[in-house]
Amino acid sequence: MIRRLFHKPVAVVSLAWIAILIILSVLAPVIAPYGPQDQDLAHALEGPSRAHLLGSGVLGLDVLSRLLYGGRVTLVSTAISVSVYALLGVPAGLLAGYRGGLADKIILRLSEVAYAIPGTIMVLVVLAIRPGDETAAMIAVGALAAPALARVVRSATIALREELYIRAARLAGLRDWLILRRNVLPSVMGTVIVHVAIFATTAIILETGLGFLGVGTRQVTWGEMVAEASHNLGNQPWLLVPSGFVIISLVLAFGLIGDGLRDATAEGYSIRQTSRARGRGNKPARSAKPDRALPNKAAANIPPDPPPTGPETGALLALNGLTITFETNGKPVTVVENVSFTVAPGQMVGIVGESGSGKSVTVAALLGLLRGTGQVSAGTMTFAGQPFDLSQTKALAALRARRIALISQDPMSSLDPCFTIRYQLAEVIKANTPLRGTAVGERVLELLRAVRLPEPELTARSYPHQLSGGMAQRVAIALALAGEPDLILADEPTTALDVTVQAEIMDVLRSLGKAIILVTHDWGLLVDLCEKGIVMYSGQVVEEGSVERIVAQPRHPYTVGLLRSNPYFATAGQPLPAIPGVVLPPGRWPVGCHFAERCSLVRPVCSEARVALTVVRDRPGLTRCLFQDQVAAQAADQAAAMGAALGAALEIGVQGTGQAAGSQP
Amino acid sequence: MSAPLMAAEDLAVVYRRPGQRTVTAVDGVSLAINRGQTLGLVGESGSGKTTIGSVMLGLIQPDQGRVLLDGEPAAWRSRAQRAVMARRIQAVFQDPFGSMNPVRKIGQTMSEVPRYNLHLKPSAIAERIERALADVGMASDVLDRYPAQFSGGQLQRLAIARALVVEPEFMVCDEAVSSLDLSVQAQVINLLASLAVSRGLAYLFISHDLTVVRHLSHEIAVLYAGQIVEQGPASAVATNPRHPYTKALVLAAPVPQPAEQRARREARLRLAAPSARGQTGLADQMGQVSLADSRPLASRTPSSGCRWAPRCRLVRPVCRSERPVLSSRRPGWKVACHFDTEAGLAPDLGEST
Repeated sequence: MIRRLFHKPVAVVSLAWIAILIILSVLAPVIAPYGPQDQDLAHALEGPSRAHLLGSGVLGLDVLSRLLYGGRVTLVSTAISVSVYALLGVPAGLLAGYRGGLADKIILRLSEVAYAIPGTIMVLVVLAIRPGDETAAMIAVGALAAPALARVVRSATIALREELYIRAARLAGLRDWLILRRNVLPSVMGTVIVHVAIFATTAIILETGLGFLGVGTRQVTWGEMVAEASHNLGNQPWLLVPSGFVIISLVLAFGLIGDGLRDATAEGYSIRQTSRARGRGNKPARSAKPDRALPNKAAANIPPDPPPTGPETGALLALNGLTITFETNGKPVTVVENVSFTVAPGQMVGIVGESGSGKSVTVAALLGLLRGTGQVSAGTMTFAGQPFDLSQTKALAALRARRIALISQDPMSSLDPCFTIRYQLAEVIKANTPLRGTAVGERVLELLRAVRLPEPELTARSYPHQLSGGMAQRVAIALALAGEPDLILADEPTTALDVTVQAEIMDVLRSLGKAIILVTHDWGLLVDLCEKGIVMYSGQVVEEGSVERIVAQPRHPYTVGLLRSNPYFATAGQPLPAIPGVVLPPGRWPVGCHFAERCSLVRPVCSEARVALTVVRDRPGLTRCLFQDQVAAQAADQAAAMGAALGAALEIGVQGTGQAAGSQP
Repeated sequence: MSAPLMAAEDLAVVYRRPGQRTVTAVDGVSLAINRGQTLGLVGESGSGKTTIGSVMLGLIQPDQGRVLLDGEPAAWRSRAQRAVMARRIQAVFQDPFGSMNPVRKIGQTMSEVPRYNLHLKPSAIAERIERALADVGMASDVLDRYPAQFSGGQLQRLAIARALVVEPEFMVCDEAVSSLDLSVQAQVINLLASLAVSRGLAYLFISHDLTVVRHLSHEIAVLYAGQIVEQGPASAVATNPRHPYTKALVLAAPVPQPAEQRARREARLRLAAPSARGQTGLADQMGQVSLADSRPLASRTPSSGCRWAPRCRLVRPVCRSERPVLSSRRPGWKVACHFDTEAGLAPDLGEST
């Protein structure tokens, strides 16, 4: 942490300045040219001179010497009150937040009492009882402010208390103080540091205030010097400069060092925090070791793939050469590379892939909805005969809702909790269609019936929070239909739902008669809904073709591997044929085949140059593999080897359907 | 016969929230898991599966029933009791990011329990950590890194390694592979399966995914609205379910085989075929129960009779009045349905609905 702190110039300068002030103050008796009360009446109220480097005050008291001596008072007082503040506030907050119950109640009540006491008056009372005892006063300051810190620490601790790792530690029978010290304290440390630094600045100002008012210690203080300067502002304005500067600079230094310390504590463990959002957002994971990254290929250098399969003429959507970059550490990193495909009117297309494959980002780019630093660096789209440059997101706005609609993973995110379903649907209808008046209300009910909601009237009157997850997703689909689009993009629309509800949402999507692009990680859903499948891996399309063909005769090693990893095909008791290794994060993709590192069929040639999408030889479709014949042989071998397992799997269906059929008239 | 390693007897957990109806999240659930065996617990959200796992871990005190470890009542009341239990029972949770403290290095987190609970010497701790890391296939250079430097799959392996360091006999895996990508999920499933063999570990494997549960488990218990509706040998329950709910669950899970998926879809639609209810499907009938109601499943189901009845195509008057008992018509295979006969569900039931 210390090492990281020293990489922050502002923090280093602040730290150095505080250190210098401390050293100078400690050494005051040795280095100060005069004593704090040494008078030099001949040179009273003068600016800087050889005799008095920082000038002299009333009675010719040396400003430099008094600053040095005064620093001792201020720094010691600040240290005392900050210590009291932290030593009272942090343990009390940890205890209240972690233990809850009675301890929490007592600490909260005490802190409320402390809040109610006017601090300044309390300090003056302490000084009235013990005149000149600034130590007592500063202890009072720290103690009165501590409840505020305790409350902050308490809230942070409560938030942590239910974290799995804290629960696990408690369950492991670890002692509470151990859990607090090892697990909770490090997490709240950032907050504590910021608050302590802020309080330190307050303490400095308060201490100098006491000196200014003359109610503090009888020794010389910076506050007293400011008071002296203010009395003589007309005679010698310079006098305010040294004391004012030293106070302001110290306050500033404490504030800046607090920020630096907080950042340094957090940096150690938050190297890749964005990766948590992977899969959900369309932000790419940051590479842990960017030094291993290969240079990014410029989109222009990528040779074109053959034209995608499918109906070339009359395609509803033809995507061509989509390349997307995100900025990571100031450098553009490619997350989607040269993706092309077509969608025919009414066609159901599925993009299947794991997190980091770029499937969600691809779909977001079609609507011009890339988040964060995401940018389309190349790519065009023809939609219903109209050309679009996907990097020009403004033009795409006209397509949204009216031509292309989006259904997201979380239906609640597309519904406003403050308005009824009827109101929200009506808004979209009015914005996108010529319908007005009672026709809008009728259309609302029609849409709710189209998504097979059992009681459209009742649903229309409901607010989003009154709906279950499956119903909310149906409403979200109705919202998507409201603009009468030709194409629906469904990005993992059922991931948050139970399987029985998921199956019915799929039924709804199937019944719409619209072209759909389904983004999913679930082969079962792809098979259930789509005719055409696109398999993505590490930002590239690796296989494309009819879903039936891809599943029965995969022609890319990744497709083979991913299908086999599915426990559905496995024999119970046998290990699953898992794909070894991990998905490489964007920025670490090799020049050659992106899957090479994990592929069992890999040859040196795979890593030499970019592998192009080529036509599958023995069936319609495209694959990005140099050895598709070997893949075909491997897939056939495995199909044979898995014959028994598959037979068993099929038996489920036969028996399941058999019985269900038996229950049918 | 000796007592099972881990058992739950007649568990009930009631959630009481001020101003709301009390919810019986778990209702009369009994389970038993032998050494080296895996029990899969399947159910949809709100079925109470996570609550049962929490009871077995001592995170929740049951309102009724008890947990037995080696035939002795398990207790987590005092810290000393918890420390003893933690040496034998460990857990792996769904969110690998949440189960590792983000501000502590992996090594610090992994050595915590061996050091402060087992009071092992540093050399013994290092040995155990090394063995656990080898078991999960991670290099020992991970110890000096923070959780944020790993992918979800790697972190889940480390979470398993942390549990292994304690050398437990029993592990609760609550959706332990659900957040992982398919290729990584397969790796972790293999890892768990091999540990069961090499270390003789017993698992309570909780998941919504019947396919995954079937692959890993010896026995499966299917949970609906806090009650076990079917329990039996894994392959039997998964391939030839007898309870209508299990059947619905099996048919609703999409499979990557076009012909089979088509057959399942058709069977599902037939099973849920609307008769007098217009075009509403299975979950929509549920929807009618749940409309304007986002409370947990258990609170939306009838308190008398079969809890699945409102969604069941085969429902008869007796289903609404009498709660079916989980009973065994075949050895080791229990079903809670009034119409579970030796021949399966009575075939004529479908016609008159």
